[in-house]
Amino acid sequence: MRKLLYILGAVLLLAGAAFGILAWRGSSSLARYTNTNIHMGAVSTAAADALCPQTGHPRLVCLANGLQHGMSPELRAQLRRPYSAADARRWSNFPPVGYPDRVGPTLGDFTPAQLGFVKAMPATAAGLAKNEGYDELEQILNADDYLKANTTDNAGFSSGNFHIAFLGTPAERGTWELYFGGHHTAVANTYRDGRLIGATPSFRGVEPFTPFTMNGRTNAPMAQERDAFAAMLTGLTPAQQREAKLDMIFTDVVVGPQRDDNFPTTREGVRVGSLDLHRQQLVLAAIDRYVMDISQPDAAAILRRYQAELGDTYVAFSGAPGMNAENDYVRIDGPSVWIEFSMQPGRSIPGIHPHSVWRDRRSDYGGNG
Amino acid sequence: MAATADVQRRALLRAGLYVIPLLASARVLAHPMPDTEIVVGRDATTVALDIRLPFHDLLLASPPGLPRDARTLLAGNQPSLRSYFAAHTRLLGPADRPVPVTIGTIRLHQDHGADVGAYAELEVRAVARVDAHVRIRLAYDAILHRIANHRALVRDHRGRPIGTIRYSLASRRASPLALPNGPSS
Repeated sequence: MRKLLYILGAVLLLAGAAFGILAWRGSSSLARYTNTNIHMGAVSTAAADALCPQTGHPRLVCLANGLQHGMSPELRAQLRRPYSAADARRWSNFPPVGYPDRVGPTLGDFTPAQLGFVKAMPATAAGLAKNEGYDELEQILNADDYLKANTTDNAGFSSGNFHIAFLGTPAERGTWELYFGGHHTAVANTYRDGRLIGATPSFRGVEPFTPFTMNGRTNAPMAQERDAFAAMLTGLTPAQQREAKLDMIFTDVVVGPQRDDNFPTTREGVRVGSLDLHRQQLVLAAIDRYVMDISQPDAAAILRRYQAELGDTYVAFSGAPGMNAENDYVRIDGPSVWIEFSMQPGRSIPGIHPHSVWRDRRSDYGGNG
Repeated sequence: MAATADVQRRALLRAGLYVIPLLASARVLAHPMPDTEIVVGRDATTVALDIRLPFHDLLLASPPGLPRDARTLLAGNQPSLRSYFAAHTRLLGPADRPVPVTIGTIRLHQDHGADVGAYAELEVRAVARVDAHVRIRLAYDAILHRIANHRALVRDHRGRPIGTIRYSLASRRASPLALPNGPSS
């Protein structure tokens, strides 16, 4: 009996230790953070382009198959997971130390040849518009490389720590999600039977916010978003600004990661339908900065839907309309579209840096959330 | 000798039983930034709330005119800070009857987190006399009443989540959260 109790105690201790370690590391215990800067701009997609000359979803399926060709079973098991809404919700703005629960392997797990296919996938899904889509993503990865190179923070900065995962099987039939994410980044494109059914949640943030040089280029991935919001808000009349002004303080976005159910039930601010055509166009231009993070022709279809709902869309802000200071916050809230932009203090370097999320009340996670 | 072995055996068993939740909660017990964390402890006659909140957000939410420096603020404003927390930390008994809450000494904790950088937190202890079997709800909205995205993550003393208190943009209030009964109820 005594021996049995000793054994039981020891087993409980070991189980507790193992569970504790797993809980500390997060359930993505297979994730390996190499903390290596990759310089994605220099990764060649020539082999991927040669194998997959298609466009749109057929190209994504081809790239997914090409990427998995010859891949180790262990890496494939991490990359390709069954589709589940629970896994789809596992994204964050935090670097790996702050949120270790992301799904999928990291870019540091791939060979240079495989990285060409990895790079081609978000480029295909997000499009190639300058400072939007894939170009914006690459600059955000460069920002992490910059933080890795220029700070002593041990948060897990670096492009090598970004994740990619397929939730479900990329194929012409069935539902799957292309997930690409890491610090300040979440891409979650959901496809059903070859059609994009959800382009959100889509999170972007960047530190440093002011233009910086890294990986052989000047980077300012979110300047266009800030400028579009500033133009939209400063373009309002004083009376419209008063109507749009929120009385609360916002130090971050409201419907951020792990806050999927946090949409307000009533809309606040100034109704876009009450604005003149010029001001409505400024609102649409701000929305376009987010929709352009999706490749065509899907982006145009999404923008048409948001344009049709513009009359019942609201604009609200807190802080100053220039969106250039700590705690400046702006929101676009429509029957479908939800966009938030929050300017925050620098975390790793002095200054300010933005967080921003684009959601769709009707098609977040492809309607599966 | 046998008695000593028995004590050792019981101690080992107790250690095993305690280590599991402690290790499992190792990550969640890290700093709560950027949110507030409230750890609830109840015994037969009292409920204790250990509140950790980001100093920066408290400054944003509190009335203007307070010192911006954390040490200066704490050194000269303990009574007004206690009044603030008393106004925003309420316990509701059956039929929403208020339960008197005492706010203790407020302390400063400064540290560095890899994910959030250097940060300063206030540690506040609130205590109330409530029998373990009495159902109570926590109505807490310090910081939340001004900062819409701020949350209070409420856990028990072993780190297990009880719930999240957040400001509702729809109702313009933070809904009270039911707390579990005490250990002997």
